Amino acid sequence: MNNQHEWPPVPGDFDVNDSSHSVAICTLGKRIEILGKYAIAGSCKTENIGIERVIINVISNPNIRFLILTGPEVPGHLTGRTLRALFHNGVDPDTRKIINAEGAIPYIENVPLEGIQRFREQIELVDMINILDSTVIQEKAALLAEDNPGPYPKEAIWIEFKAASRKTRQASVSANIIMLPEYGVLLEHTSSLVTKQEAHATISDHPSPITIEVRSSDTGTLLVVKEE
Amino acid sequence: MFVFKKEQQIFDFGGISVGGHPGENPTVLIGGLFFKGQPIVEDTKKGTFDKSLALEWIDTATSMVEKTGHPLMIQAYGRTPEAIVNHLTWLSEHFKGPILFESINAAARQRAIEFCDEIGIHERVIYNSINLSMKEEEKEALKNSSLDMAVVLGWSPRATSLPDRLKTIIEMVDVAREIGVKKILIDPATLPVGAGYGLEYRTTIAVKSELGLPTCLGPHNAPSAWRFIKQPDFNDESIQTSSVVASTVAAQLFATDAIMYGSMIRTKEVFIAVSLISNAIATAIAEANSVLGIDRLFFDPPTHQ
Repeated sequence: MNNQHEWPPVPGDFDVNDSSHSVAICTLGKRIEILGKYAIAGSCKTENIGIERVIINVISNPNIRFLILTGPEVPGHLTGRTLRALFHNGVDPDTRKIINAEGAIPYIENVPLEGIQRFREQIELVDMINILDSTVIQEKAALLAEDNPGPYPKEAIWIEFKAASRKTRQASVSANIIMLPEYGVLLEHTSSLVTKQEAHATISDHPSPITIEVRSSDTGTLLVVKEE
Repeated sequence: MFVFKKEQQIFDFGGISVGGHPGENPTVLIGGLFFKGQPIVEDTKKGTFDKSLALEWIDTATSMVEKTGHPLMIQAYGRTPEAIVNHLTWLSEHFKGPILFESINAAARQRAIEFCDEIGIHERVIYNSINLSMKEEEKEALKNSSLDMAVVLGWSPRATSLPDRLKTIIEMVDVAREIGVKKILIDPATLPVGAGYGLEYRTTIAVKSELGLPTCLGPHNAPSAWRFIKQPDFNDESIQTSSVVASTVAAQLFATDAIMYGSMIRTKEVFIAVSLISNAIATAIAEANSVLGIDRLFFDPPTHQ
């Protein structure tokens, strides 16, 4: 693994146990506590963003060679069956739709095609959808580890997971919809996010507009310079 | 069709999840029973009513819940202690979902609190409502009961601006917690057309964005008291229903988690309209979540296509 990166790259509802282990466990709609050894285990709720996060966390760790797909199937989204379809069929390169997927919105848009292909080659998918017994899952993980073929022979792929909105989000406050001026509450029309008005100043208009925004976060105040 | 930055609380009211981001849980619909003027009502003081018609309404509503996925709660009104007990007795036997109760008579409300405790239905009963005019005696009765779910009416005649209204709501939430209420629905109160109707929709957005609490409204009160549709040319059922439906879906779009739609005589129309808009919200939220990179489940309503 590349020491310059911290694994796993995408945060989420999961536990990391031993990053050198060969088994990752996806428990679909519900977090299931699993004893014993594994690399990473956690839930994956949606058939698009959720699966993208799984892919990114798997291909960034060549030690992972098995993905146990288990836990309760997610009603409507059919995330388990969609992930299985992705593994078996891949995505349509033009539309990014997972081929033969049954889920509601089965699109992988934030992972490049080579990342998807790598995911399909790096791991063996173990279908245990709708198995909820943590002991059974734990025993399967232990059995698989005995068949570990060793790390995948190519370097880890690191993808910075960023939502599409960041490319398209409006930098200018004036482009947003003011919902509650009393609280500085805005609606970002590009993402439907209800957010707070940030104090900002435009410092240059030419050759492109550059603004500075004052942002408050849990860790303090940030000045964010943006070129639109 | 909003995604709030503020974390949204979800409470379980008798098996129904209420709250969260718009579209995360299905909008809950609250039908009204035993209100004066409803064709089922016979004697408002004694609490007698046409049981077979009431049962028919409940069956229709149960069927609409199955078809649309939108949960149902029923609000029972009672003018007197005798009436409210009669209504709650019958309703608790014929409807297994959450029940709200309401009365303009404090003695009736207090009797209802005691009665729900006595017959052990406190886990699915919601008191409506904790408000500024609530007397100490009634607060004590609620505090001493096992009821812990309530609507909090955040309204004061003096609160004329949004910050004032939100301040009133926060004060009433504190009162609710002091008297042992754990699960709350914030109702910013619907005002008559021309006298404030519309401000409650702004307030529900503010409650979600500033407090992250579940919201409810009775927007049907605006068209119900609207003189315009009392004129002879307009005073027919289709116009009354379409106005109630319009006010309901407006509330749905403005992030109201549970909506009182008035008389259960309009159940079918309300559920159909809410289901339509629910489909729109689901599609919009799916795209918004994708743009924002949010991995959050949302209610996926049947399209019936």
